[in-house]
Order: sequence, then structure tokens, then C-alpha cells
Amino acid sequence: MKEVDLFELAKEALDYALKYGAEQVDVFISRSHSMEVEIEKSGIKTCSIRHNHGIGIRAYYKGGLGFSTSQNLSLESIREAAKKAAKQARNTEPDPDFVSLPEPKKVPPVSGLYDNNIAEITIDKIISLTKELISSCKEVYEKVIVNGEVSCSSREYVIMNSLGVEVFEKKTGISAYAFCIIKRDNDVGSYYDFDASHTLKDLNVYEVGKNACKGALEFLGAKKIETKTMDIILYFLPAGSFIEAIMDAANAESVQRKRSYLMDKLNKQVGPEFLTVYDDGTIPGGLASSTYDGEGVPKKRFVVIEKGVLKTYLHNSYTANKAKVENNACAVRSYYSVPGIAPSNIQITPGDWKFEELLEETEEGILIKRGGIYPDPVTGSISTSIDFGLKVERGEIKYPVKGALIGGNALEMLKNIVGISKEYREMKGSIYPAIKIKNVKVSGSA
Amino acid sequence: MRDELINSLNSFLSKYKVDFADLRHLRRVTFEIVVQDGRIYGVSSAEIYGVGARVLLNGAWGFSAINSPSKNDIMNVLEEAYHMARSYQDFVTEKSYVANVKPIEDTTSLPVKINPLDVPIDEKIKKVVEIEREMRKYDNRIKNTIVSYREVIDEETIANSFGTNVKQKIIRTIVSVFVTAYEKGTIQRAYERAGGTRGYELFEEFVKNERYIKACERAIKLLSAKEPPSGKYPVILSPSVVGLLVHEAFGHNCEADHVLSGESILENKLGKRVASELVTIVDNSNVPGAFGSYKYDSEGVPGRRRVIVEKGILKGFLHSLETAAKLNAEPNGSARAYTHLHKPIVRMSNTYIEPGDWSLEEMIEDLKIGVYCKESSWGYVFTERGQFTCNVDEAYLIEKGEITQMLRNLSFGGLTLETLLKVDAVGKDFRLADPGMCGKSGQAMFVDGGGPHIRIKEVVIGGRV
Repeated sequence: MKEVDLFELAKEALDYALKYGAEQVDVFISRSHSMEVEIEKSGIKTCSIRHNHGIGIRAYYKGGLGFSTSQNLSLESIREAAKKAAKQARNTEPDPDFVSLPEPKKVPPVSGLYDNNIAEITIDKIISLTKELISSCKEVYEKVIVNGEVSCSSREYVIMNSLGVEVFEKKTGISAYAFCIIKRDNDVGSYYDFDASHTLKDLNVYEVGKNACKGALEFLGAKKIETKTMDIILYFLPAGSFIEAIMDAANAESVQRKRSYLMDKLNKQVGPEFLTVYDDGTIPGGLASSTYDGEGVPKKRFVVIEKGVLKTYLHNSYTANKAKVENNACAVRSYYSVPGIAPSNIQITPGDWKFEELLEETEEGILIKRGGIYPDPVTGSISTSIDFGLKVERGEIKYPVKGALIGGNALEMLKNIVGISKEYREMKGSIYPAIKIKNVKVSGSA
Repeated sequence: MRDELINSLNSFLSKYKVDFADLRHLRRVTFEIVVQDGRIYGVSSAEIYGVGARVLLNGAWGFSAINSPSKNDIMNVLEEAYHMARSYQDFVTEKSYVANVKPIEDTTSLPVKINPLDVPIDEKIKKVVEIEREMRKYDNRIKNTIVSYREVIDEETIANSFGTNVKQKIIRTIVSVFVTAYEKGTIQRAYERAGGTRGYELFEEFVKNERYIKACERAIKLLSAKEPPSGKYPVILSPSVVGLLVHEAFGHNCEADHVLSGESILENKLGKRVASELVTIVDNSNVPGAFGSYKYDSEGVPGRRRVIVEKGILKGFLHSLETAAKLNAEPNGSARAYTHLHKPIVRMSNTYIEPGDWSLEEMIEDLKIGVYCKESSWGYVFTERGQFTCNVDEAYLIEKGEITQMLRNLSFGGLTLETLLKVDAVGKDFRLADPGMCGKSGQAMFVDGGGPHIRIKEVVIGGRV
């Protein structure tokens, strides 16, 4: 199937849904091939290949939404799906808040999202990367147990709507993941790392293996701790996932439906002056970059939190129209579901603390290296285990902890951020420095 | 399609010499109605449809899958799976092999009372609209209400090189409601959900028992609930939380693929004490109507009742054809794949603790202080270290033998090898009450869990005070 075929099929679905009474229609059709090499107990376990294609059709009638999806791309099946979507739209009720699907707007493509070397990769090449991943773990510690995988995919898709949006994009991706386990007597240490990229040359398999295995060694000898209020330092990835969880609550759909703790926080101070967060879906080669969002609207760079103030919510065309604000193009899409809203590449502005200083200034605390704290997206409540935490005493890392949990609230923790590191981990577009939060309740089992 | 699968498999086997091969075809038709804030938010339908093939060649596994296959595609995926296996057969460090099983030929479907396809769409929509309206009327502090009705109809056909040829149809109905309540700067939410290998009767019961009102009541009560305490406390768990606990704290560690990959803390514990003698844990895929039930797993092996822990002693694991062969056990039908794009992996079905002889009142009256965890939410585990977390939506403080204050936002955590040893009371009641989707290796799966009420001498609660 060629590019032109995807367009033709999308056009057919669009015409058919209109013919069966839809007032506006949009179609997402995609086709992908992926290969994966799995690692089990430090050896290769399975090689897989998948061919996945499908179509998702949204039909609107007086704002009411009908949706239909199918993995069958025959003309007959596409027509049937389009007809279903249109009929289902007429089964719903009018939505006065629906204004329109987006109008077309062309922009130059974001570069670095497609690599021929991945599109044409052989299974042998992926196997050799997998062997490199395993040996980089073993280089650190010979008796390590490595589980994980190296996988790559090549995908193309068309977004088309009845107002004239016609988007074609193709992307490639490759990723490596290692989960390392080290057993000594009755003690177990484990840790993981990963890397992902749109291009083959930017994937660093060696670092993934080395980090994962070093971490597993570091997490041997975990101890129970006592219940106490102390500081926590979120290392790069946990800091990123904490801020990303905050961005999830800034989803305009949740805010408009009154199910987000950020619903009355627009233009209010939610964090310290030194906290600034951008969402940027236009970075060349960015993992979450894309020329257009899931509805065919050009992606943007925008500030979400500026000097601690929440500046915007994350919108798609529906929520932006309803709020009468500019659409910041956060619709995400797959063929099998209606578009959701999500951030793309998250860039936390690095602070002016050296990471070492954040540690040194901690009298008692926990350095959280993986996992993290995930507030409930509605209430902001936090009650979660510390899965990969290291106890810090008088500025020094002492030992890994086990059987400990954290309690709190997202807004309270945001306010209690006392430092952000200069150093950060860059995940192809995202920037995650470490974040220190004071006065966190830590429950222990000692 | 069934004949095409068998013909393709036979012509593949006549051309290539392999250790084992199988083909799996899935057609899943889904229909969903969502009503939100007084309006039909969306009506949707989905069709998942395709074939997956596995080939085992000289101890190496290959897998290939494609959507909406043509006749040629079926042969192609088999050949691709063969080439995938061949690509690393020279680097295999530990050869894979599968248990020999007697071939089975069967066509079966799990029975339902009312086939959802026999109910007109308008009638379904009307009922969803009605209960959402009642939820909105419940209290003016309720700000957002969502009701979702979903039916999932699976037809899975499995053929393998042993000669197994099984076709299985499963109808599942899933209803969930979600409520957000808001008052004076405090926001709280509550869910209520039901799911089963059942038809439209499941939805009718959900409505008749006013389960949707329970979510409203909980959301409103949570507005004035207190923050939980922090540290070590005795807990009493309801059947839904017991379901979550045995699934996370124990069940994942009993999946034999974790044992083989070095990711289970129970690796060397067969025949040893891992729980108090009051505890017997069962995973049973034959519970009529339960969400995690099936007749055959995705390898065509009959599912069954599997005793994992008997009176505190670890008795066995959940197996696929491969793990059973490698761990010298009998295959027990626990390998399932979410769709044709996924490989069968070892999964739980309906996991529960068997009842004992305590009443809930007896468990409570003994406690000077403790926490009663009533409604489960979600959980996860790092199996290799046996460290788990369970999140609870509704809980209460127990003081001087009585339930007192409602608590919100509570997780408890613990260690697999310690927690179930501390169970000191097991109730005589029983309920499967935790239907949901379990995630593992990038696949979702339909599971359920439950048991009686139980009491644990001590877990750690992640509170704020």
C-alpha cells in the first residue's frame, strides 16, 4: 500500500460518512511495521514482527459524536465503518459546545522524525544491538540477570477532515530497555534504564545497559526506615514524570468537566518562581514531536508554567473552541480511539543548584531514582510507594530503602519545591533536571 | 477462517521442519455508549481482527502478526515467524521447548443469559441516559458524571502443530460510572464498576442494585473524609481489596514466566511456607460469569482451578506450554494474549483467597486501632524484590473495636514474603469483586479477584498525618 492509497481510503471514508448524514467528519488511518527482539535472563528469547493497520472515523451531527474503528482496510469494510460512525452520530444528542473541527493550515515539516536506516533495518541489526545491550550490562557485573528488549517501528498515517485538512506523516522509532536484577544470598537489587530515538544513530544502547546494571548493584542491601517527615529529591526521570503528571491534570477537557485539581488555578501561582515548564512538540528529532497534532493542527511550543504561574491548559480543537482560546494542538491520536489530550516534549527549565549541592544540603531525605510520585489526576492526592529510593543523611547517600511510602498532595508538593538542578537528562526533546521537595511525609516499616 | 488456518498450518508444516507452531485468529467486536454531564457523549464501535503465528525452531521463538489477513497473509505470517526464529537460532543461550499436550478439537462459547446483540441500541442508550440523570440529581455538589456501557465479543480460533483446533466465543459486558464532587476547594472522585463474561443481564443487575448511586454516595462522603495516618497499622481488607492484594502481592510472582526470567521472589519457594496457615490462594478460570474466565487459554489448553497456596504453603505456579515443560509441571492453561498482535504470556484469571471462619465483626472488635480498606483502586508490584503497592478508594479508621472516621487517599505497601505471613484472620464471607484490566509486558488482560474479608497484623500506610 502506498501513500496515495492511504489518502484514497481516507477520502472514501470521509465521503461515505458525509453521504450517511454526518455534518463534519475526520479520519485517521495508519499503517505500521515493527520488529522486536526480547531478552530473557541475559539471552535472546523471541524475535517478533508485526504489521498493524487500521482506520478511525469521527462523525459529527449537530456536535454529537459517532466513532467507529476497524483494522480491515478493504473498501467495503471502510464504507461500513464510515456508515456506522455517521449513524452513531445521529444516535447521540446535539452538543452546543462543539463549534467545528479545525480548518487546514500548512506548515513546514518537523525534521528528524524519520530515518531510512530504521525503515529498512534488518532483524540481524536489531539482534546485534540487543547483544551489545546485554554485554554492556555484563561489562559492569558478569552475573547480572538482564531482561528487556530492543524494538523498532516504521509508521505512516493520514489525517483528513471534511474542512480540507489533509496531513501525511511518516515516522520511525527505535528503543532499548534493560531491566537488571542482581541476586546475592537472599538479597535482590534491581534497576532499569531505557533510550529511544527516531533515528538509529542517536540510540545509545551501551549507556542503557551500563546504567541499568550499575543501578541494580546500587540497590542491593535495602533497609527499612522509620516514619518521618523529610526532604525528597526526584532524580531526572522521576522529576520528569512528576511534572508530566501535573501536565495531565492541566488537560483542558478534565478542567472543563470539573475533574481536575488545577481547575481554578489558571494564572495563579502553583509553584516557586524558579519553576518554568514548556511543552514543545516542534523540536527536530524530539521523541514526542510531530508536524501536526492528532487533528491536523500544527504543533507549537508554549509555556505551561512560567515562574511558578500556571499559564495555560492543554487543548484540542473542541476544548479550545469551548474556552474561546487559541488551540495549542495537544490532540493525540491512534486509529482505535477518539483523540485524547496529552503533552509532548516537556522541558523543565534547569535551576541554579548543582546536583551535588542539592544532596549536600539535605540533612535527612530520600533520593528517588526511578518510578516516582504520581498524583491522582482528579484530586491531586499522592499516596505511593518509593520503589527505587536511596536514603540520604547529612548530605550523603547511605543505603537503598524498602517498604516505604510517600503521602501528600500535588499542589502542596509543587509549592514545596526548594531547588532544581543545573544538570539534567535530555530525552530527545524533553529536559528533566532533578527537583528537591521539602517536608514530605515518608511512611516506613522499621 | 478456521479451515484456512488449518490448511495454512498444514501446508507450512509440510514445507518446514519446526519444533512447534501455532496460529491464532481473533475477531473482537466492541460497542460502547458513553453519557457525560447530561448528554450522550459518544457512541462507538470497533473491530479488531487478525492473525498471529508462533514458530519454535531449534529452541528459538519467532512471532509474526497482521490485521485483516488475506489467505496469502496467513501463510506469510507463518513464514515470517519462521524467519524470525531462524535469525537468532545460532545465538540461543537457553533453548526453549514446549510441553507435549494431547490435541483438542472443540467449538465452544461461554453462556450468557441475554446476548447484548439481541437488545436494541436505543434501549441500551435509554438506560445509560437514565442512570446518568439520577447520578446528577443525587447531590448538587456532584460536578461531573460519566457512565460507560461496553460490550466486547471475542471469537478466538487456535490451531497448533499438535493438532489442537479450538474455537471459543466469549461475550463480556463492562459497566463503569465515574463521579466527581466538589465543595469549598475540595475535589473528590469515585468509581463503581462491574464486568463479567456475561451478557446484558450484568447491566440490568448493576442498574437494579443501584450500584451507580454507590459511587455518588462515596464521592460525597469523601469530601469530608480525613487524611490517613502514616506508618505501620493493622488492616482489615474487604473482598475487593483482597482481590487486589492477592493479585499484586502474590499472583504476579506465581506467573511461571517471571520464575524463568529470574523475576520472581518465589523462585525457590515451592513447598515452603509463604503465608499464614489461614491462607489458601486459588486462581480459577472456570468461575461462571467472572470477568477473568475462559474455557481455553490462547494456546488451546483448558483453563482450570489452580491452587497456588494451600494453608500457607506454596503449591504451584501458573503455566504456559513452555514454562510447564521447563519447570517440569503440568500445563494448566494460563497463557493468554490480549489480541492477535500479542504473544500468549502467563496471566492470572480470577484470583482469590478461600474463605475461613471469622466474621467481619469479630475482626473489628479485636482491634484497638487499625484501618478498614473497603474499595480497591489499583496496584502494582516489582516481583523480583516482591515489593507491592495497593491503592484504596475508600477506607475507615478503626478505634477501640469500632469503625469511626472515613479516610481518603490511601495506599498501603509491603513485601510479598512478609505480608501474607501476617494474616491473622480470614472471613467466612466470599465475593469476587475486583474486575479490571491487568497490564503486563505491554498487554492488557481481563482479570478478576476477591475472597472473604481478611485481617493483616501490619502493613505500611502512606498517609499525610
